[in-house]
Amino acid sequence: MKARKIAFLVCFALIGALVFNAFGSPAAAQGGTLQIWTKFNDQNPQNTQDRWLADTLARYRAEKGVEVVNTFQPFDQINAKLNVAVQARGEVPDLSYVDSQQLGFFDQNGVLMDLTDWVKSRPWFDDLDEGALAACTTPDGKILCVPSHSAVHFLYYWTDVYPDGVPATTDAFLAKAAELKAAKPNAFAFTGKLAEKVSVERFYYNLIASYGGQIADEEGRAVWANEATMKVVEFVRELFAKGYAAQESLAPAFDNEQPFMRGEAGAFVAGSYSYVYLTPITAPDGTKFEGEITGAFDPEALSVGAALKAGKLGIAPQFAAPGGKPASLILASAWAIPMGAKNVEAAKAFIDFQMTTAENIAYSAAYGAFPALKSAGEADAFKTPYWTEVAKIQREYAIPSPTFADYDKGITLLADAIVRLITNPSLDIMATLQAAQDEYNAGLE
Amino acid sequence: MSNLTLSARAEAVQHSFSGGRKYRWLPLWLLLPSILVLLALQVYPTLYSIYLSTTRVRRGEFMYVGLANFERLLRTPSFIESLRTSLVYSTTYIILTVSLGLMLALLLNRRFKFTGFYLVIIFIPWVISEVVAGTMWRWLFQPTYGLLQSWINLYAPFLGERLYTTSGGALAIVIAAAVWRGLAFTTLLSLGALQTVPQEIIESASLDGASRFQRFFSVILPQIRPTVLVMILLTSIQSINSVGLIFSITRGGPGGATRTAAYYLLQIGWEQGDFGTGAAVSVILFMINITLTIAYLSIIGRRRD
Amino acid sequence: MVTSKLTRRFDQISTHLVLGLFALIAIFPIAYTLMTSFKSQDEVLTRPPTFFPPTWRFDGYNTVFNSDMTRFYLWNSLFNSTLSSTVVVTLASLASYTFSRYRFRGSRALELAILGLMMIPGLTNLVPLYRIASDLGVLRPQGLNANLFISAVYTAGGLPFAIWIIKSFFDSIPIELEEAALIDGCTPVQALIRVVIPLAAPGLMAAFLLMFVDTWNEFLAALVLLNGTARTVTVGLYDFQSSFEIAYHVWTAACIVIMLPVLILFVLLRKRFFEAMLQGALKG
Repeated sequence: MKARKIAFLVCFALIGALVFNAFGSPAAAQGGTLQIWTKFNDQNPQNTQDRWLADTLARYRAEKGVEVVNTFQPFDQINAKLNVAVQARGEVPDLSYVDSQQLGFFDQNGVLMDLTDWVKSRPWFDDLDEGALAACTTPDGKILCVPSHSAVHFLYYWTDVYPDGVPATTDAFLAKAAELKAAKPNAFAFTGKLAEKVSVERFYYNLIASYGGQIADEEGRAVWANEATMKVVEFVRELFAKGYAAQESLAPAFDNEQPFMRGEAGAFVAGSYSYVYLTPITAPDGTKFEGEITGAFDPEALSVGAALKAGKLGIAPQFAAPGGKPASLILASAWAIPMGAKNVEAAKAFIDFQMTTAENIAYSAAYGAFPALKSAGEADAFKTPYWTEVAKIQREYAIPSPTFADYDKGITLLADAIVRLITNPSLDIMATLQAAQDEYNAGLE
Repeated sequence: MSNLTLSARAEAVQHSFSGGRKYRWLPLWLLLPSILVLLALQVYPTLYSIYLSTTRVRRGEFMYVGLANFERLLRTPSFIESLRTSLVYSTTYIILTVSLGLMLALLLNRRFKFTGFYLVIIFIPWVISEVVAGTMWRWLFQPTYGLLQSWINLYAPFLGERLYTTSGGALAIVIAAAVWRGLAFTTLLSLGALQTVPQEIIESASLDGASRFQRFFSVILPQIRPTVLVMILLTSIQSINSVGLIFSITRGGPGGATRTAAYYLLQIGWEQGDFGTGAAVSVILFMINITLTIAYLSIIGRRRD
Repeated sequence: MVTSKLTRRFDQISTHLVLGLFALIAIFPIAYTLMTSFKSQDEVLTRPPTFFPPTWRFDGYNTVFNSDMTRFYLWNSLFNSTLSSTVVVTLASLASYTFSRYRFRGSRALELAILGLMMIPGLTNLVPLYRIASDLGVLRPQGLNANLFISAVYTAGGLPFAIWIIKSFFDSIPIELEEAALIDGCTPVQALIRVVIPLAAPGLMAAFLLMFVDTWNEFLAALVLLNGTARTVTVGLYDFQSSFEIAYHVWTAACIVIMLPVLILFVLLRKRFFEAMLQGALKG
């Protein structure tokens, strides 16, 4: 009796799951459809980017009659998965979202199709922003992807804490931080992503560049064991040793933004897209800003937007070396066609659709980055005080990404070395940087 | 029932079964499905991995490079360090899960009230996936907002002010989470073993006036020694291969302090797309496991005699 | 007499104290997660941290129950876990029966070789498995193939361990019963099905539960091999975390939803499971 009951339950579970599996999933892809990979989830929208994609695909279907099937790939897996898919010559999408800074890696592994001639022949080619295009161009001049928009990193700050703006140099910042700490021992002068590989893109590389240093040479070899990096490490060590920076800065994932959102940290290393997720936010004096939904434009923008309007929040370039110029790595989000894609023409048609001014505005606004089309950058949506400021930072301080062929390996090694130097103040700076540099270069053989 | 009588019985069965000529090939048919599945999805991929470890991808082509990947790996400081981290992680994990498991089993074996209830509660962490468990542990130890960290700062500051972002502290958190999840299994195995120890043996020892600890080490431990060895080997293989908790608690950080060899394999062979080197790491891990396996099998073999 | 009574009393109290402490440690992170799932986004991280939610909200669960988690992932996981555990227990029963009752040339070596497979780290095979999957064309983001394939992968992964456990149960079943059945004219397969398996049922169930829980919680293979709506619960968690944000209360609610089914299964089967594990599993 018992055994039969169990057998029945097992069968029931199997059949139930099978039915759900077979009928629950959307129509399987047919020949005429376009398969794309993005880090956005149109099936299960959780944020503005997801909703943008769902809307766009619906619009595309309505206008062109083409079914686009999006496969959501986790943001920290999409580049790796694309690489594996191409290497295995397996199920490769026709079109994929890529991060432009991975270009060297994609180039070395032969992951993406060369789009140079096609891109140059398009009507939107002349409308492309030079900086964004450069992010999709390899050192030998191949265009491997089509940029949609580009983002830089800078500082958000609370004017309660920095009424005169964030000090522009590292020295002045440390002095101000000491003052703040004395007044309010529980608060932090600063928070931001200072661990894991992305910290190099968002913070360390920019600061090293402002000290006049480089982390990679033209051949893609690591050269970060230099004076500039050493200065940066000394600066960051002091931030943590004296308690100026929130410890969350060294944690993985997104914990680092919390002290700023709660008004406990005065400044925050943000991307131009950061307003999308900083909601709700509370100023150090307790004023709370909460976004409300208005129209098609990003509803959550309003937390940051309202704080800006109220004069509680400010934007500034990242601090730089004394006497140096601020810098910020430019990161472009782009479309690329992987090797082995079956439906190349459909993919190109979709890129053409994306590279119209109206579509470019919609995507950039939802993502929170500056449009790659100049005509889109002229739109009203990007003429607000916030975007004017962002555009200025991007125009004046943007620097291209380092040329590592093993990109993730390179920035991971550098970030790990710096974090180790922070958490263990007795380590020798130069020796540690040199060891990491040697390790990267040895892997190039 | 001791194992000795079991295997003696099995011998007897074999004799009586092998008689029927009609069913001569029956063992083969019974084994075939399992063997096929294992060949296709365990043996073949492993051989493939070994092949991959001798290649390197350049411009989409897999090029044969011989043992160069291994040679380079052994000169790579972060790999050597990850082996060291693995050693610390595994050793601590094994000692803690096995000794605490034994302790809990001894207490449960006293069979006071609620024993079953405690056993169920202690077993619950095992049911929870590493990804979910890791997230829980991570948030408890957040430097500014973590509940446990704030209690530590209040009541036990000697443990450390910000465990999660120091190298030793992060490793301790990862190990604690692993022990939390693994303890259930060693407790259950130890309890199973303890219940085979006849109550008279324990009692006669106490009549002799043996103290508790003496009794445990001189009477009980020798009786359950085989199970303890099995546990040590199982937990060691488990800990060498596990990455889920590290992935969800620290991602190998801060600064690589919790990057075990297995996690290094995940990073380099998957996230960074260096399949050749990744496969080389996996071959090295496999060799370590094989060594442990042989040790384990020889122990089982010895018990059969 | 008095002292021994006192000692016993002391023993009882100290035992309960220690066991209670461990039970508390076991349950605490889960309780904290449960509490967190009832908070709102900005109540999750506060200084100082709080255990209980100031007000009980169900926003997190609302989001989870209107997402692909309940539309697809739970069902995929249920499918994979049920299918692979069932197949594993079936195949392992046949194999263990052979190892337990027959001896032929190389049988011991074969048994040891299969046990040895247990030691291959699952991680080792990810890239090769990906290539096999892509050669078979089962990586399409939709449909059943991907889940059938990954169930096969889980089956292969769980077989050696299951064979080991189930064999130790078969070993403990007296053969006289089978001999009687054979004399009555049963074939060996009938003897296995009618006599041995019912007797070893608790052991088979223990193996089933072990396998089910492992499959349900598996993360890496699912991350690598599954796409889109074919994903399982552990990988589906990613839906609640984008590249820029994580909604803590939604994430914790999803964690609770994910762990509930196995927790329920475990609580339902616990008696038989513990019995089986305590009487004879894993003794080599």
